[in-house]
Amino acid sequence: MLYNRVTEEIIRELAVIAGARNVLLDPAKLEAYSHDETSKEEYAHMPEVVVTPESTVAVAAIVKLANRAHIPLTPRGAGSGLSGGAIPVFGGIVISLEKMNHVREIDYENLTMTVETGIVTNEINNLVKDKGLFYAGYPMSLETCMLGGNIAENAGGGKAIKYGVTSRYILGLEFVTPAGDIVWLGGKLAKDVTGYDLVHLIVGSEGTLGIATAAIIKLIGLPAAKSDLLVLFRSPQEAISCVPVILSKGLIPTAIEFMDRRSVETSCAYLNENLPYAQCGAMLLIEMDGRDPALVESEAEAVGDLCMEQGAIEVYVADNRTTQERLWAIRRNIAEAFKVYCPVQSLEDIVVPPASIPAVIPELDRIAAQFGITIPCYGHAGDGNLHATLVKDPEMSMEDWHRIEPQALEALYEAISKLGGKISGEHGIGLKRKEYMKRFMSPVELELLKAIKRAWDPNLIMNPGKMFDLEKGIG
Amino acid sequence: MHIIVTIKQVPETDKVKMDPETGTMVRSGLESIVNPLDLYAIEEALVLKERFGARITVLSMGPPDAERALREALSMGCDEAVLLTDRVFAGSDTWATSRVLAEAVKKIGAFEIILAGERATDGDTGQVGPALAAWLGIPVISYASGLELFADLGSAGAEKGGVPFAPSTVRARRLTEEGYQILETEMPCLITVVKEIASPRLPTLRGKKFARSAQVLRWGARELGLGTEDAGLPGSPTRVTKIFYPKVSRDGERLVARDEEGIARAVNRIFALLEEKGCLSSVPEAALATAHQERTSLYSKASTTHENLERASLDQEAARNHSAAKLSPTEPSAAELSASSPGAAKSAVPKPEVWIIAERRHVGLDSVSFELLARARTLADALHTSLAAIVVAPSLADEEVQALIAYGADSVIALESLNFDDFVCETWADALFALARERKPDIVLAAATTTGRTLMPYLAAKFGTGLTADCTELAIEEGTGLLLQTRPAIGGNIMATIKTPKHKPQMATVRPHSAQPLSPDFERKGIVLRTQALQPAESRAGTQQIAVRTRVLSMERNTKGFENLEGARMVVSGGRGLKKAENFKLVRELADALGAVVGASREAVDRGWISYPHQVGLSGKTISPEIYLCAGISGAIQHLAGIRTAKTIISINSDPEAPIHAVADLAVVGDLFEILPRLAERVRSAKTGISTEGNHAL
Repeated sequence: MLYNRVTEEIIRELAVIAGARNVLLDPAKLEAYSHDETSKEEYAHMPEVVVTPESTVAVAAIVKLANRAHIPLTPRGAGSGLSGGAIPVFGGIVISLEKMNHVREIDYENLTMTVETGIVTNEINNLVKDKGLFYAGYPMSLETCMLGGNIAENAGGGKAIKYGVTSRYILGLEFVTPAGDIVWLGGKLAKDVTGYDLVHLIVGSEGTLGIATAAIIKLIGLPAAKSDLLVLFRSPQEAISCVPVILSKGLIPTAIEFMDRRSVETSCAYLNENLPYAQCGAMLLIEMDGRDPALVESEAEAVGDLCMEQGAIEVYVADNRTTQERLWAIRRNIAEAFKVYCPVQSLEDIVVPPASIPAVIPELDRIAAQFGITIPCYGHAGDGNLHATLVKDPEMSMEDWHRIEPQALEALYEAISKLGGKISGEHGIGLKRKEYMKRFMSPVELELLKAIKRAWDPNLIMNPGKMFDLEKGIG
Repeated sequence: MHIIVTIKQVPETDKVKMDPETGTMVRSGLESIVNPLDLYAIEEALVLKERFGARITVLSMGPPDAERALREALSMGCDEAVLLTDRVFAGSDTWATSRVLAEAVKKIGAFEIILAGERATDGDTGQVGPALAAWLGIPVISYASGLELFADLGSAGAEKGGVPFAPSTVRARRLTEEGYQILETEMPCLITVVKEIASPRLPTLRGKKFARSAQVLRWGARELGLGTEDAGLPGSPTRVTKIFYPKVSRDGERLVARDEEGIARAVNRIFALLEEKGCLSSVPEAALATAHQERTSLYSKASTTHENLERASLDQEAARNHSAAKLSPTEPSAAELSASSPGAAKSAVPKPEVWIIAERRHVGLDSVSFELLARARTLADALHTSLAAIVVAPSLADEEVQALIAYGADSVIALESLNFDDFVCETWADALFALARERKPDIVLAAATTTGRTLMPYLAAKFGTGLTADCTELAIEEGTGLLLQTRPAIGGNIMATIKTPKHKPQMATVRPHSAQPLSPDFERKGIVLRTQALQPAESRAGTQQIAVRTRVLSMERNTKGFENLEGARMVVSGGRGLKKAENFKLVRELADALGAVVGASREAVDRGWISYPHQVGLSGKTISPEIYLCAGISGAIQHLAGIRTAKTIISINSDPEAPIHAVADLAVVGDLFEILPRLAERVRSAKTGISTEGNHAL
């Protein structure tokens, strides 16, 4: 089975469907749609045409056309993904939802919002903040990413331990199937077992099963107060051992971020932050939030006390925005600080059972030593999702890097598999990690995934070349 | 040792709104924080506590909710907290605030040092600290970037064998436009600090627990023995008469430099703009010649002699070519009038004068003095009175006198004493106070420099009159003849017009570069008074007394990392977009090529890429250069506050959404790493006369 190329005829049809202004062919403009936040030189691929439809009907018509003509179709949001999921590896049509960013309804009775998926996720919270509401499903890259991408990847982020990930907040979807049919799934319902849970099959399907053009999302009360603790520990073990102690006391932080010594040192040096981290082997950044400032304060204090009991060196408290910004700056600037050290990296998002985090660190050290690279480790300790980042030695040649990167990744995935972990917690498989799916997912499970894909998209036009390979090539 | 730290609770600057009806700040819905600049004062107090052992009392005046700021200070390690809160205090200006604080300090009891941030980020006046020192009659050292304590004056010993001792002398490093001034003073004293002094610690859990259980004392007017007329609006000499919102966006030109062609176009356009603004000329007569060059050419034109001066002042009528008013010197009884006719001394009762306090640096008069003259000339003409330039100096050269007259002064009063070699607030204030008591000026203007912003609040407190900081517009109100003082506030987000209805003199500091000097007229005649003898005896005694308390040890000029940003006509700034310290060389190379001074954003300074004296913005410097070119700066509201009055802003930032582009006259969306080196090369080539490469001239 082979894909067809985009012809003049197809382009004319696209112009009729979406309007000529929404069909991009200029290579300079197409370039922006050829990559995401993964390494451009490793993964980028040019689309043949980009369409920016303005309605669900237009999306459906484009999908119908692609399905009829066997042209690969890659849906795209903001392009801020970290797995290569929005890259058109087979060329074809990129269907960008950037112009489908309207709010269709805010339902204050049911506390839901119906929005098109091209909306910038951060905008959602700006729109409902004044009503004391918020959408809790937003990930860390909150300033640029779009809801559609969050849905495709089932994005997680720093607040998952208390608020869960994107899927918890998606109640319903307006969905265009690979055949080009439009269907509404789910609804403003807290409970719904009417058949298979297709909404949550689609959430996290990386655009391989169809295109979600709108979503009913759940809004919750905005926690007015928050308090952050920065806790210094002598070792990662001490830091991680605090997590179950805190959780078992019924204290549910919004975030428990872990930073290993190397991450702390590099970020603090980059920020010129003078915290006394010399004796510190690891840090936790813990955030408590809630409605009542006094309650939040007392809970934060209880968490701090538990950490001290577990052997913390020091607990710093930030309960206003100035000090909170200062604490979070350390966590947020780790990636940037390492980019200054060496911009060539592979940002991973492995996930392990939370208690296994201390065991991950020596593995990372071993792999780093073996391949002559640096692997700082930081991330969401509360849910075991770690950003172990492979950073090239600035002196190493690119040739050597390309040679060792897959080997180091392999070694990393091998190690975390043994610890009961998986290769991606929130970034997704996409293009970047599909080769490792074969190795780290059981054949039975992989075949179940492929069976779903074939059943929904028999012509294999929806975001081909992602998650796993199926038998089809470029025509 | 007992240290008092005065702090203020301020709203987060990036979210401030003002009520245009009442002219007051809308505080609801805003998070309040400890004034960020006060955190440095708190940290320095804690450092001193650790070294010498000390009790720290933190003091604030504000609404009941300001208790949170005090508890934050307690959680950092301060020992006691006092909140001055009373409806009577609401609406106090800086004069009334400093008065209430002074009463509280007296009630708190003995202390060695009062520490305060150089100013608050909301009001942005920096007046309360020096005014408080004046109320308490103690020396003030402003803009301190470092402190050392000694057991007695001059004994440069550290802790004796590690044993804490009781210090009695403070040696401070004070950041000025010229460099660092090293001064020593006796305790008790008041020190205002800049960010460079310390890096604030974070509150610990232990600290938080202490702060939560600690008692915060609350004092109202009654506890301080103050009446309802002593504070708040009734007790404030100044009145806000109008609030308006300045136009922030400049609707400038925007270029996108994504590819080779775009980059070349952007470099060409910036170059053309710089050329148009006269930045590329290397001849001294150019519009952008430095202040120093201006002075040099001025003196040569003036060709003054002493006879000229004498003849000048003999001809009273001829001296009125700018002003219709009659100028009469005050009764010369105690005065040594170096040159005035006997007839002139007998003329009618003088109208109160307009004064400017001229600014003098080690090289001579600073050009800001001429800007002040331009401002004051308009005011004096509107009031039909005369304009006096007051100069505090060891001795004033005749050329300097001539220059002041040429630029608009009707008379020059030189307070000459060897004590006046360097700026010492109390000494200068004493001399000026005595002179003002004698001559009763109507209006006193000084530059909003480190000197003016220290001296003027100290003086205003002594006079018991109002003062408005950092004005960018001045006018005379029709009918009342009152001075209307307009200044930016809240980081430049609003403009406020303020007046002092019932107190004299009316005082204001004026933002440097906010006015053009008049074109000099070297034919103008004026009067010169040289005035050691004008000082009454008791004041001179006072002067000597204080002069012993504070003395200047040295001046570090041209120290590494120091730049006179305030005086610069061109500033090239870099920010976080430079990615690392080494990349600052790109900014420096362009600045060098242009003959500009290097600035930086807070982020760049915080990261240690460049030193604090380079920082532009709310917690750094407020500047008004002809050209402000910034690269890799996003334009946070705090940064914009420092550049609102820049004449031309050029921004280079790869983020099309960066707020800096909205306030730029020329916004370039592009990669600074591509643009800066090419621009520097282009400027260098143009200056050395070598024609630029063809590919630049697209």
